[in-house]
Amino acid sequence: MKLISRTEEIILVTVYKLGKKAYGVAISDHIAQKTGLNWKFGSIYSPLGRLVENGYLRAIEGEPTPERGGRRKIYYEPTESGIKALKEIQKVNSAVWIDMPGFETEK
Amino acid sequence: MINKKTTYPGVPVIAERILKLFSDDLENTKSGDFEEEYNENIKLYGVKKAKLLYRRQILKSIPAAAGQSIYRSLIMFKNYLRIAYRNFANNKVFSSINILGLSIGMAVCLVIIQYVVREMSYDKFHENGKNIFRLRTDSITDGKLTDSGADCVAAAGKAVFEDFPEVLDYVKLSRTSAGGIFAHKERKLEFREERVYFATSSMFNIFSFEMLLGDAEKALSEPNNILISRSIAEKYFKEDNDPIGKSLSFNGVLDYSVMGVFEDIPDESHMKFDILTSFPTMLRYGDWVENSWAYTTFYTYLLLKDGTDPVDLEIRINESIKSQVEEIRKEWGFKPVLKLQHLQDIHLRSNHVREIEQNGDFRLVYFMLIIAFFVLGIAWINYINLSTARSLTRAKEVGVRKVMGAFRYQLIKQFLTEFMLLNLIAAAISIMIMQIALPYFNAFTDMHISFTLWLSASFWAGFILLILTGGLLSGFYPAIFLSSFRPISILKGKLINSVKGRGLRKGLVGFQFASSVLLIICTLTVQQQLRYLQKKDLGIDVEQTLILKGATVSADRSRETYVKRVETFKNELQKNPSVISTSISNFVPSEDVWLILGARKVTDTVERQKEYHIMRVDHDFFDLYDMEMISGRAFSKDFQSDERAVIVNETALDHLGFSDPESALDQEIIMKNNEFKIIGVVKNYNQESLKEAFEPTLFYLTDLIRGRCAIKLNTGNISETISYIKNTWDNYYPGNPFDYFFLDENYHALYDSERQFGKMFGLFALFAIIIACLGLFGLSYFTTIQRIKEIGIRKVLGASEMSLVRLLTRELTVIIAVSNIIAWPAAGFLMVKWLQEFAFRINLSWKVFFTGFAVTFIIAMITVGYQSLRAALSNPVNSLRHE
Repeated sequence: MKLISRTEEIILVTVYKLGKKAYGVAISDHIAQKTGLNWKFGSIYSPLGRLVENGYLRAIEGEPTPERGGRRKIYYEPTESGIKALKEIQKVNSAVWIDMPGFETEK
Repeated sequence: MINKKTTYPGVPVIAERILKLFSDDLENTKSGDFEEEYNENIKLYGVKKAKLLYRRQILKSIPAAAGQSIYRSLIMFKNYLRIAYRNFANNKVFSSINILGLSIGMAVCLVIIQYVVREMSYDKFHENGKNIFRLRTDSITDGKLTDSGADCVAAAGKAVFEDFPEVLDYVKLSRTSAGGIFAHKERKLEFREERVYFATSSMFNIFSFEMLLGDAEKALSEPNNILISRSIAEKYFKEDNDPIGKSLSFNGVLDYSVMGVFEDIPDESHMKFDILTSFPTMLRYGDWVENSWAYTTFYTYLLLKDGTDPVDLEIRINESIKSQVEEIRKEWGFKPVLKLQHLQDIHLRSNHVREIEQNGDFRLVYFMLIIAFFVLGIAWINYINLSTARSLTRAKEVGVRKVMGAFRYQLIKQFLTEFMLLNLIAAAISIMIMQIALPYFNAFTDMHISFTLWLSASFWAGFILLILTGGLLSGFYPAIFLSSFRPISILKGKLINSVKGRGLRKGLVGFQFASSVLLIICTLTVQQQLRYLQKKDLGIDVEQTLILKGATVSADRSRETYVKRVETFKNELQKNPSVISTSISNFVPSEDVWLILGARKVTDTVERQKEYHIMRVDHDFFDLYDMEMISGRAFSKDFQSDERAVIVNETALDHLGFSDPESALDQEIIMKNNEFKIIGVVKNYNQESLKEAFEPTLFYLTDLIRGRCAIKLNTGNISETISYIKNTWDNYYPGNPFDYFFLDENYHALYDSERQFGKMFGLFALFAIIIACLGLFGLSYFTTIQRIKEIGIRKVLGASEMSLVRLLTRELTVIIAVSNIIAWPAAGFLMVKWLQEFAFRINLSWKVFFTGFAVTFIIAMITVGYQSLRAALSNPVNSLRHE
């Protein structure tokens, strides 16, 4: 399988977790909530674009809303190969981490 | 679907626009995210903070967005390149005309840039460069500028250095009697060295010439020391690596000790010297070399403190020397005025008498830059014209791309990419052309341009910048033009109106013609002037004259033996039947007369004294050069009194204040406190190059001359005669190298730089015209193709072939006429400027202007006429069959 970048991985996971509600603001908020990483929109668009291009995500246009200045939301949703990729990433990750010795606890 | 934007109050739209600049694919939908967050933040933190956060969000998004859009555009770029390649391959006329024209244009540009860079780089290598000034002297007599020398009076340098604290250091150089024959006695090596100067001790502190061995300052402060260049050291001392302390004999009378070796002086220095003799050595000529305010020929350079205002300093210097100036005026009749001149202005902007060497001329540099601009400009114009003229062929592609969703800016980008690619290919070819053609070019123009700019990063930066800006400028219009087509009308098969853009095309073709006419007129005028320089009657006979450089090493210790040796040497030469006559003088025609003295009528006061060029000659001088006496007689051995006689030329006659040649005879003049009687007036002749007017010149007789020996030969076996002369020379003047030149060649050499300029100009003008013709050929090719149906219909309706040709060429005739009218005054102006350089010059002739018109007209008619004729002769069936 093709390994995707760490950034792409985080975004792919987030999109999956958000289910039907994954769009720009939501993704960015979720990542900020869970990890404390304050990613700007600019930096999530590129990986999102790449994920779409590689067929892991598909983009669906939503309804325009007034608070967006009349512009549509773009919702993202994992495709089948996206879900497959997620499974493999999980497998690889846990395989890598499983025999990780614990850190020595500091006092 | 809500189309209208319901923007909440206060969205800072500008920030969003900035972001869009960096990102292609930031569609409306996505940037909605920004606005949504903004509105959320208003609720949370209030408007002010929200705006701040919004801006921050946008700004920080830029890098990632830009990265993405570069990534995307690379994918498109690959497609653009492929299409570009297909287009080039598809239309070979179009692409070869463009590439050929551009690469020739760029190659010409490269050569010119190389030339210009070299001219501009003179004296730039000195660390103190910007603070070094040359102090030179103007002489004012009777309120008029009578002499404007590159050199300075002897005492000025030191005085200025001592009186003004902002003058940190000074150096004084003199060439007077510094050159001569240097010999290594043990090795029996003797050579005539001419680039020799006396120099004071600060020479190497002020200038950044590189010392290899020895302490320059110490060496130059004691008498009889010399510093030599690396090549001189190799010449005299060969494998001996340590010449320090060894001695070289000078003119057989003095021994100089070598106290240092310096690196050879770079070409880009306005002064080049091989040997420096310590200035105290010069004191043996008298202490005037230190403290005279009247004798010039001392090149003086000052090192000023940072930030000194040279204009102000110059005024204060002249203020401070008032008393000395007054003394000089009383005694000599002229007032010396000191002038400051920036070191780095000397090579291109200084044209005084007694310059150290022939300087360049910034006007020529500008002329060259103008040509470079024209040549490259013409090539770029070809692209504009050809690509807009054949827009019909690209129109379908534009239509399809637009239908498929291409934005206009993407199309512009595509066309620009294509043009840039064309430029890059041309640039690569131009460098190859340069590499191959440079040796031929150097041989043709007798220049030594080498492509050294390879190594300089700033050159590459400049070259790329040039291609980019020029490319963008000339590629932009076609790109805008081509991308403007409306897909509906194109794809419906509606004929695109090719009238659009025709006005601009006409203008640009007009520009090409105007510049071609300008270049033709300039080239022809320059050639005419050069021919005139070589053909003009100098007033003297310079053919078949061999000039020996004088003997400076002499065994004669007394005047009698010296004179006797000269006499017997001349007689010995005369014995050879090929030798017609011989004459010795301090200067021969074609040389700069640097010996200048003040003189006046006996009856005049000292205030009326003027300066005259002094020629010291022997009895045979006037006869040998076949000079015409307009009154009186030449020097003669029959008159013992000729020792105190002087012959003047017409200009001197005028300066002395005599009304006609007859009345001057037997009048007395005072020169150097001695009285001389005028015995003859000689017709003016061109002693120096035709750039200079006739100088007032006095000739007097002396037998103690060591300058030049002229030998008039008949057309016998030249090489045999020369070997006879050499043998005689070696017998009479052992220890002196046998150096000679031919007088006519020396005259010829005076115009070397003009000839180079003429050749370069002519060559580049030719290229410019060729490129313009290429463009015209292409343009008429495409326009006739587009009008082929019109021609067919006209023919069917009965138009004759001639009337069709006339129809197709009429427009061009008008363009050529208009561009000639524009180019003529410009060319006239430039050429009048250039001709002003020469005291003797041709008048601009109407024939040249007419030739400019005729040449462009004929060439244009041939190129366009051929296409038109072909179109007119073709069978209308072929062009109309498909309708």
